[in-house]
Amino acid sequence: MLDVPLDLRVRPTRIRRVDPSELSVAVRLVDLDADPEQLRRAESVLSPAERARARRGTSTVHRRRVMLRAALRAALGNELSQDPAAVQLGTSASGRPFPMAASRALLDANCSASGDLGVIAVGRACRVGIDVEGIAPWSADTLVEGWLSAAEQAALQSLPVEERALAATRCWTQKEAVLKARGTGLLDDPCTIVTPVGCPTGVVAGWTVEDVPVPRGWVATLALGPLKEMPA
Amino acid sequence: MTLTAPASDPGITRRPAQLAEFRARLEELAGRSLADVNALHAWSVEHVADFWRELLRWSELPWSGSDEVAMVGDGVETAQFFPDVRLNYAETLLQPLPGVDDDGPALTSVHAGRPAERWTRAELRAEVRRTAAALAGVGLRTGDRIALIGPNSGRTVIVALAATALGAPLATATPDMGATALLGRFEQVEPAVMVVDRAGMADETLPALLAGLPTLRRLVVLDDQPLPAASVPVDRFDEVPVPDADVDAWERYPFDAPLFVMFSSGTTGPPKAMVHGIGGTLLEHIKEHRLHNDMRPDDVYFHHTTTAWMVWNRCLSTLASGAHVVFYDGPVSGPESLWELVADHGVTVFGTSPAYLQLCDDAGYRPADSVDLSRLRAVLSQGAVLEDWQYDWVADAVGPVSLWSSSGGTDILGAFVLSHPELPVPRGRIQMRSLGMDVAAVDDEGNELIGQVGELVCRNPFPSRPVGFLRDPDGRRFHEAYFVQNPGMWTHGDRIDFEADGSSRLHGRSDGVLNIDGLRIGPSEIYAVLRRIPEIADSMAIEQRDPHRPGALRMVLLVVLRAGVEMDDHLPRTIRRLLRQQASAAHVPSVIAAVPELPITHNGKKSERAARDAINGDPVGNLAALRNPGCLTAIAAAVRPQRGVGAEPSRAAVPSVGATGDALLRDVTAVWCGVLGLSTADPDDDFFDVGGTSRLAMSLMRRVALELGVDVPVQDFLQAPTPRGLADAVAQRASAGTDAVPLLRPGHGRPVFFLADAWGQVNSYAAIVQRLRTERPVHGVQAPLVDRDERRLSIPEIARHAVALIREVQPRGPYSLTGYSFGGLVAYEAATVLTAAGEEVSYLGLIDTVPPEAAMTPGEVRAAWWAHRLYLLLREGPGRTLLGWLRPHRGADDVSSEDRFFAESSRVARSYRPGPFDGAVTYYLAEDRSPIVGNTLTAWRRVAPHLIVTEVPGSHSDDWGTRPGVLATQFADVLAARMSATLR
Repeated sequence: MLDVPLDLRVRPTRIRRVDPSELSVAVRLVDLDADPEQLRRAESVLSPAERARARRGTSTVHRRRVMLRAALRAALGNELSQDPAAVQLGTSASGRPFPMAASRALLDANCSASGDLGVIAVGRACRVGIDVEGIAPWSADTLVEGWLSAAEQAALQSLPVEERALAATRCWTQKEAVLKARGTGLLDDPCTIVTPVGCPTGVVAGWTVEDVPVPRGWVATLALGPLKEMPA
Repeated sequence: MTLTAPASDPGITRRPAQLAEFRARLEELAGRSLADVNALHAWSVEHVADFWRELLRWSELPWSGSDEVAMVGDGVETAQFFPDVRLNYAETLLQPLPGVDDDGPALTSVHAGRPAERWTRAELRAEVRRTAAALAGVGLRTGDRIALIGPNSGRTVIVALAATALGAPLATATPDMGATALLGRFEQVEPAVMVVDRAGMADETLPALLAGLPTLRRLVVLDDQPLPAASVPVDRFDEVPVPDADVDAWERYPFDAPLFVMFSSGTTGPPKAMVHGIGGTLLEHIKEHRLHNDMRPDDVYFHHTTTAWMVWNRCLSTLASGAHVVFYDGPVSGPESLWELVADHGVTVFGTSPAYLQLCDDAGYRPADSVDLSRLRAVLSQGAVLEDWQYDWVADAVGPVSLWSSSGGTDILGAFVLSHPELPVPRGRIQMRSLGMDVAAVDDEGNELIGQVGELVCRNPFPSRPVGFLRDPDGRRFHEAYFVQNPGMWTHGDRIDFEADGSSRLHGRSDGVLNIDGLRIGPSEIYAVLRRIPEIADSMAIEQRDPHRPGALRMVLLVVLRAGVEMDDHLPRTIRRLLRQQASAAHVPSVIAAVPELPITHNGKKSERAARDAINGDPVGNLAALRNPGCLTAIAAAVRPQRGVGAEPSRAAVPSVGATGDALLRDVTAVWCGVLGLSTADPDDDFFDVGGTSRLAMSLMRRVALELGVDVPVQDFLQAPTPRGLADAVAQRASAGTDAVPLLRPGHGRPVFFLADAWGQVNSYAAIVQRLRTERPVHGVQAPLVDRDERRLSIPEIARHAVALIREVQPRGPYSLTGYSFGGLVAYEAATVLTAAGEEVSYLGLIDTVPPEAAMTPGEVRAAWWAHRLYLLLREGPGRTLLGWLRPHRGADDVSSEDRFFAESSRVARSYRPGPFDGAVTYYLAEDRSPIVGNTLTAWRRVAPHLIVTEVPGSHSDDWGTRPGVLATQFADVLAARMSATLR
């Protein structure tokens, strides 16, 4: 399994009321391709409910879910010095997994997959959302799919055509990362989250967003905010 | 007709226009008066050879040879000008001129954040000569093509002129263009030498260019960064040795020798690489600058452009008139940027775009109040159509200057219609036809139209016709580009109308090219794909005003089926799939309709124009020219008519739903499989289990809207993300009411109405609606913002329609209305209308609805303008947004229809005068606002004495989009709670 830890030190000034020395985010890229043996080993650290949910998917979806969830458990286990199978994960109403209160230790985690690339963010003393997406070829259809604000549509159209595919995909990963950090997902209208089109970093709807380096053909965004925004 | 001031006024005493001097010479030749503009133009096209010869002589360009033969042949496509004349472009621009101070400023290069550089005429000549010698030293020879990638700075100008001095054809571009775009241009150029400035260039661009341009022999870098690794020798510009040999006289080249390689923008496929000749370019530009714009040695000319737009090349030529030319390579960080530059440098002729003027108007910026424009005599506008009100704005906010709009193109490196220096400017119109060019509007038969919109053509030869295209050895592409549609004429691809006085107005692109969401789409690419579908006998792709997106256009595909073939569910899907795969997603039409036949003119040409008028419900302009006018009725019926004013609001149509849900489920499943790339699906499959993602969910909703005509919010879909759940959601939405009054949230009791925003949309209210704590149902109200002729409706007109829609849902009061900004104005007006009709309005909420200017006293208006301007400067990031707006090299498609639509909404809002309203009004005031807004609330209090103001978090940010507005999700809790308190 490809497992590349990337340490992104967060500029502490953006986060309030947290001791800056405690604050960090670890991002890992995960290769979700796996042979049957790797898949079996990964599946062994999942809870019965996780295994059941994974099996509901087609074989590709099954493999991605298993590999991503196992990697999430491994990352959290590493932070908590626990066996991956022993990590207690809960799921919020909107389907967002989170480390259970007892073992949370100021930890937050989020993950995303696109094709065979998974990304995992584990934040200490901050709230995280992460999203990865394959860069889709530019299509004018994108403008009217209903998730870009008017200002973003205008900004995208003012870019040279060859830059729009990356910019539009990044708009999406920035929105999705913020929605996932917020914990609402698409229950909040993505239109209302206005991204700085063309910029890999910035502040979006109050969250700090940054590009995560990923292989060519994908774009990934990490969203960070203060831990206090975590719902009770 | 409103007139702006004549050109002669603004503070500078002008001698008679140069046009008068030249006209006197033509009158001698003609032996009669040519004082009338139409008489002058008519003579210039009837005696086209004499006209250009006289221009060559009068302008005293440095040339050698003989001008006896002015024109060989008389075909528009083939005629050749001045076969025996030789000249040098750089020499013509830089030669010492009588009456022009050689030590006076000739070129000023303005930068952001560092001092401007300035060259006198003598210095510039010496610098160009030195640079030419340096370029010759690195191996640039006459006839070698050179690619120059640089910002709009003096240094770029010097390199460009040096290349032309050597007779090396030049192609230019800006460093911020991507590698793909640059290669698309320069691959065709096959340059021998490339000069680049890497400031602002992406790291990967230069290696990609070096790899993709095998003809390169030498690379020269203008910047100070480390020299790049390259397979060809690389020099730093400043270190290129200058050979001692003094090249004193520049060699003169044949009239048609190549000067510039220019590129058409916007069409699909590789851009056309057009070659323009030395003599044609010079004569056209001298004519425009000196005769039409009266450019003189005492003028200072600044045109906001980039090196990738033809305006830049035309700016260079201004040097030939002795004027001082200003170039600027910095960003536009606010509406004041360019006006301050104009004032600082004493600019007399300022060139800009309608977008920038509109931006200043929208920002409430008044240049005349802020900077000294006493030297400015004319504003040139290019790149898009200048709207009527922009003439008023310039007269009011800039002052008594001539506002000169022109239109032409890269294809002719000049203008077909432009200014007249002596005549007043008719509001909203371009003054005259270009001298020497027989420009007209024609119908499908090639007959001239006066007072009607037609195809823009030029019916005689002109020197600035391209010499040819690159990679077009037999001239076939060149021929097909301009000369097929109307034999014997240059057909430009624009629609235009002329009045008898010779004035004109542009009306967008003509039939050939579709412009959907700012992308130009050549229908021939669509027809090429459709020819592979055996069921289709013939087809036509046309634009229609999109009833769902005011101000936008959508593509309608009309198909004629072969005998015996019926339109079924599969054929449209096959068409869409093949177009997507073999052309692009942009080529997929929004609507596909089978029709019995297509409109054909008497001479056998298909008329897109007639079909387009028919489906838009417009009067068909060329009915008499059609062989089969009867077919239009069937075409109009086959395409669902647009919802316009007075028309019945159309019920959301579900074509095959009927009483049985099975047909709908089948349709939904087909779309589902298409989006997910599956061949089959079970009605209860979970979207995410079969490979769906959030992103794909958005695409699925879009496909459902396109193919089934129903907008399903993704939130509804996520409740039950299965084909069955989706079919249920579609059925529910389809029966939820008219789509002009969508149910945003179900409930019991009297509804709450949210009036649509400046885009005619209600989705910006989603976060608020979701968080309202009330049992009452919530409706959006989407009254039309335009009428059938796309004329913008006023706030009272919109409100009248809104009241009618509201009454369909709730016939009697008391009513609860609210709206944000523009929507707030409509809500206010609707409330006054309802009250006047004897109804009670129990709740009227204005969400950050800044009072319109018409309602303010002049002092309030002024204060608000200044406050807004300061505010813009203080805010983070507007520069980027503005720059995106303004990037002028994108040509006529520059301002997207959405931008224009929003700008027009602002205009509608500003001209609204609210009447008195005696009921209670709750005003939700954005905390994050310019400081003056609090004071202007007195304007509201004057008409609505019972105004209660409550502060809510967020900014008033509907236009600039860099800071979250009051409707943003993170602030929605507070606003929703405040509203709920009143609504409960």
